[in-house]
Amino acid sequence: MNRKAVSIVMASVLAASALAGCGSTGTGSTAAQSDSSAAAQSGSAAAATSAAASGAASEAASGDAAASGTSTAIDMNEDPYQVAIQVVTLPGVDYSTQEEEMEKAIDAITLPAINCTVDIQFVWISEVANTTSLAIAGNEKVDLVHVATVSPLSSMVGSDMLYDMNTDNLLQNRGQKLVELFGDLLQSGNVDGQQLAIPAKEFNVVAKGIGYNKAAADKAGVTLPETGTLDDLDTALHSLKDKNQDMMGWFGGEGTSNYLYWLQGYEGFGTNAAYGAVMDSSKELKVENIYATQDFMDYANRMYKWRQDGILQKDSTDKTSAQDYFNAQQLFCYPGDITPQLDALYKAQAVNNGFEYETMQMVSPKITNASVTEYMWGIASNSERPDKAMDFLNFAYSNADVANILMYGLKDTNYTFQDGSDKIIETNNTYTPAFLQIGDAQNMLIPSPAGEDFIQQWKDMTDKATVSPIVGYMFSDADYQTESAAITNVINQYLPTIENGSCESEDATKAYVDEFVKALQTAGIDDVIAGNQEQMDAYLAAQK
Amino acid sequence: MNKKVKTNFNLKHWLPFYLMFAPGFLYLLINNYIPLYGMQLAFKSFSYKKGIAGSRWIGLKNFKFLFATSDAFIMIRNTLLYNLLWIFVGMVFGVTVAILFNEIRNKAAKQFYQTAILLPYLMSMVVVAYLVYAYLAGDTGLINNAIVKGLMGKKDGIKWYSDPKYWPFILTFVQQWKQIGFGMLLYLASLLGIDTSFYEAAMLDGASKWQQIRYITLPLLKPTILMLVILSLGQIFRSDFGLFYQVPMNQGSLYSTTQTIDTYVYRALLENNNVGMSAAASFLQSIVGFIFIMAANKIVRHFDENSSLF
Amino acid sequence: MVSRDQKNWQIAAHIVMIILAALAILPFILLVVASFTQEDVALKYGYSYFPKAFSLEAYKYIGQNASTFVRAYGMTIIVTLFGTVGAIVLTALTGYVLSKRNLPGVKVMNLYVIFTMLFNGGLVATYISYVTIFHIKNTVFALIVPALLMNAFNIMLVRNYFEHSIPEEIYESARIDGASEMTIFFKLVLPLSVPILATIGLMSGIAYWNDWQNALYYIDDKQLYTIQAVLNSINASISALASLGGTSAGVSAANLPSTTIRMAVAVVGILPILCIYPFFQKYFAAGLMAGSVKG
Repeated sequence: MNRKAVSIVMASVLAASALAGCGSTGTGSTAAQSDSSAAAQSGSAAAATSAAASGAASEAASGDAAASGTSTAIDMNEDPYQVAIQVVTLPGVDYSTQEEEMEKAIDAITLPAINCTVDIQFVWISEVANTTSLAIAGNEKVDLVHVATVSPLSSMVGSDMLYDMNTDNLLQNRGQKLVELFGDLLQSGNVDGQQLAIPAKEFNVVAKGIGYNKAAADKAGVTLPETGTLDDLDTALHSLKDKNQDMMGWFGGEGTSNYLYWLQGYEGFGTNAAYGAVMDSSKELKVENIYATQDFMDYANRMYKWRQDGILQKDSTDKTSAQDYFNAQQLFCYPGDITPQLDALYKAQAVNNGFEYETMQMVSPKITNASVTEYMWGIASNSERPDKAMDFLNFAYSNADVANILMYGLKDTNYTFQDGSDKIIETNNTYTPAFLQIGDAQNMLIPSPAGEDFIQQWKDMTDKATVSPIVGYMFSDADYQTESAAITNVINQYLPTIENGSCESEDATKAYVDEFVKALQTAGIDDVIAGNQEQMDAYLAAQK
Repeated sequence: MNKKVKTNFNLKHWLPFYLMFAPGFLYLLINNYIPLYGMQLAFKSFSYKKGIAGSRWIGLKNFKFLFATSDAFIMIRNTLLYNLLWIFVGMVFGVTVAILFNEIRNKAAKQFYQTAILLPYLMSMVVVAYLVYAYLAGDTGLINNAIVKGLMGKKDGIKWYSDPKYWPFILTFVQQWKQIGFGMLLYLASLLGIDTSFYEAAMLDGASKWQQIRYITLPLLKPTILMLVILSLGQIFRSDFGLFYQVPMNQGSLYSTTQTIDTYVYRALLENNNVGMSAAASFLQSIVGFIFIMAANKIVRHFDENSSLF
Repeated sequence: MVSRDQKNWQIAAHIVMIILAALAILPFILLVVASFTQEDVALKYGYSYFPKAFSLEAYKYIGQNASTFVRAYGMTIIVTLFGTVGAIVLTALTGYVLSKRNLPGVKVMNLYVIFTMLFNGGLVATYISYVTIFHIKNTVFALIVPALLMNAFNIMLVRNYFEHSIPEEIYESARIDGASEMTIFFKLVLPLSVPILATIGLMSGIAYWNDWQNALYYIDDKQLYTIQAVLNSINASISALASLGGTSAGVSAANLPSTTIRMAVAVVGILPILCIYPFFQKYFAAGLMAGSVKG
């Protein structure tokens, strides 16, 4: 523990000098560097930046930077560069009071090791997409950006927002730890030969299924197997209905996402498989229109039956979220991802709400493109020093202390160690970055309620997992923007009715699905799928 | 206006006016005109790295998605019809309420009414949507429970959110409900500007209230009414996104009466957030608005030069 | 001298206004009650005027971040105050000039203004120009200047008033007295224009109070956030979290009481205006009366 105290003292000393350094020299401009020069030429924007970077020092720095792009060695003699990193949080919270302290603590480690300091940019989840795109458009200071949740990789590829980490072999030369850690999974961030993002989670395996209220199941005498099928769920929901009239068995809700994804599992492209899906990548690598399959027709019929049998919520247009109902113990189960991390979290949450949480796995653990691209890191295309951004990212995955500070905040201020453990921590909820994934989880702290076996659980699950052969493949929709627009609209229009089983009759449901498929075809889904298949075949051929 | 006789340009006389116009001119230049160079994005494939000027030209490709859908007709029809209806209804309600409000003499009552009817204007559409939902929800909605099931004694409530036929009424109601306080305010200022001696003279002549409204108030409000109508015609291809997206709760089955150009564009670009395509949609809306506003102004000008905008 | 006719009109007016007021107030009451409703009761029975259980949960969530809120209120008040005054002055000046139909070039000037209602350069271009040319990012100007300071609609409204509600004779007599145009504007025209200026002030005031977009686009420093920006962010995040749904990104979705909090957020946003509004209105009303000139 003394080490920590020392490090904080050191931090303040070092940071003071670092601040002074930054103030006088500004941040080295790399206008000379090959790729950012195009951005730099865009008139006034560049003028503003170079004006900000002051004096002769920046010229010297830019010379160094151009050289260092290709070398593996970190230049310890240049002025330290400040790397900006986005940390996404829930809205309303304000960490500005501890921001500086966290930065100092990190600087104390990174400055001697990789000669850079950090600027933590806290962004509220609802503002990430806006803040990032505008900051890049306005050529402001952004280096490491959140490529996940509300600004996924697919939304950022078409418009040059992200820096290609293959430039000058940057990733290979300066991101050795990342290469070692993620290996083939790096392919997921590779779009048309450009490495636009890298995975953020060390463990990318995900199983799918439902989470249910164990207390309610016990009370009604319903048992669900650990691993089950849609039919098992069907039986359970029916017997629950007989015993417990008050609780909703299933909730269609807004109907904006296709629940079949969690119940049966497929690898979709685009939101709700708008660009088609591969139903089972271990069998056949064929892109299909999920909505035209028999599986989907059966699913639509099942939802209709569930409505008739009173399993679905009464009001087919109910707009509340499933999770709200579930937490209020008015809903028996809902579909979702299953991972050790989520398990720990939801179990704790359920206890808070006075019940017990359990899962039934319906899709076996897999590592798919979706699970890898769920959380990623990117470097903004206007980053002044992509090499330093890479250094920092690489370092954060090598040095657990840096990652711990970003993920869990400061010891004593934000968390304490559980008695007798130097790994398990109790957080006091004063620092909860909600969507942050960084660092090598194996060496990092573990927040309770997860226990010592947390990492082992992940490892076991990873061992059991199948890795999809198309894990690194991403469909490029650049040539299909028009179709994409039309298809997205059609899915939004038809899917909620089906998810809520609210057609008049079985025949009407059938007719409705047919109409849906026809509308999708009119919107051009077949062309998109054909294009997708072509790209995928090319990808697979290139892999061999 | 004997000023018109003067044909020579008298700089000394007019200079103060130009100076007074300068701040406004500058503001619009900064706020509106400089950013106009962004309109070229409608014809470009935007790249953040290359910037607006450096992005690649792609012709009319960005516009294609607006017409590639079979719903193009529905969304254009909805946008136009709702706008036309609301321009008319808003005018009638606004003028009526303003005149009635102006009749009230009790100061306290006046203050209360004005505060009250501005309330909806202060609420965000998200909240309005939830309130509407509280009233109209199929199972728990207040209207179904209190009126349809309670007073009318029906067994099942009305499924407001699954039948598109109710929505023209619901949307019109919500729109008017939200805007009426604002609409009244617009006309009220003009009403207060009317010289009271007109009414005093009319009353001496024994004119009834209705006659005063018919022959004094309405003619004097005409310029304001015409101006507001012309201005709203400029927005004919646009729609209040919150109203059409949030209030029907993004319910797919209601698209036939709730889809407008703006909601379509929003839904269409959810997937790839294409800056060029949204610029294209906005460009089209501007052009149509421009045509409407020019035509309307020309027509008004033809009949009544003083009421035209320019 | 109140005639029967006049009395009937008054009664009709009161009836209509009472109906409208009720239509406005009843939902508002529902809003307030809903914000105090216990989350699971609201889920089960929907919102009702007489909920089965009350709760302060939603306000507690807001209260957790009390310091953020207090500061945000302060920012909003400053921005609204300066913004509104600026808007009134700027709009009145511009509108006044445009009301001079004889002014050489006025037609072009009118078009110059109206054109801005129709065409816009879009967010990206506006942002780039404000940030890279005028450097307003993370300054209080970013909350006041973009979009809100003046708009063509208000200018037209003011112009229309000057044109039709202020008699030409006033200008004539003033000019004969040798008053300069500036004097005429400030000493004569403005006092006569209180009704329209009050209207513009009210509209701008509400626009500034309710604005969240400027903060979203131009402010990174949360210290400068206005109340609506904070509130809107909370709302938007609830939607964002809901849309992430069952994926593991939904991690912390359940940390937010999602339904009632929207209501509480709305109440927190509106209530202060409701408290301030009557004072303003009193002031305006006095002005309105003084403004409704006779000749």
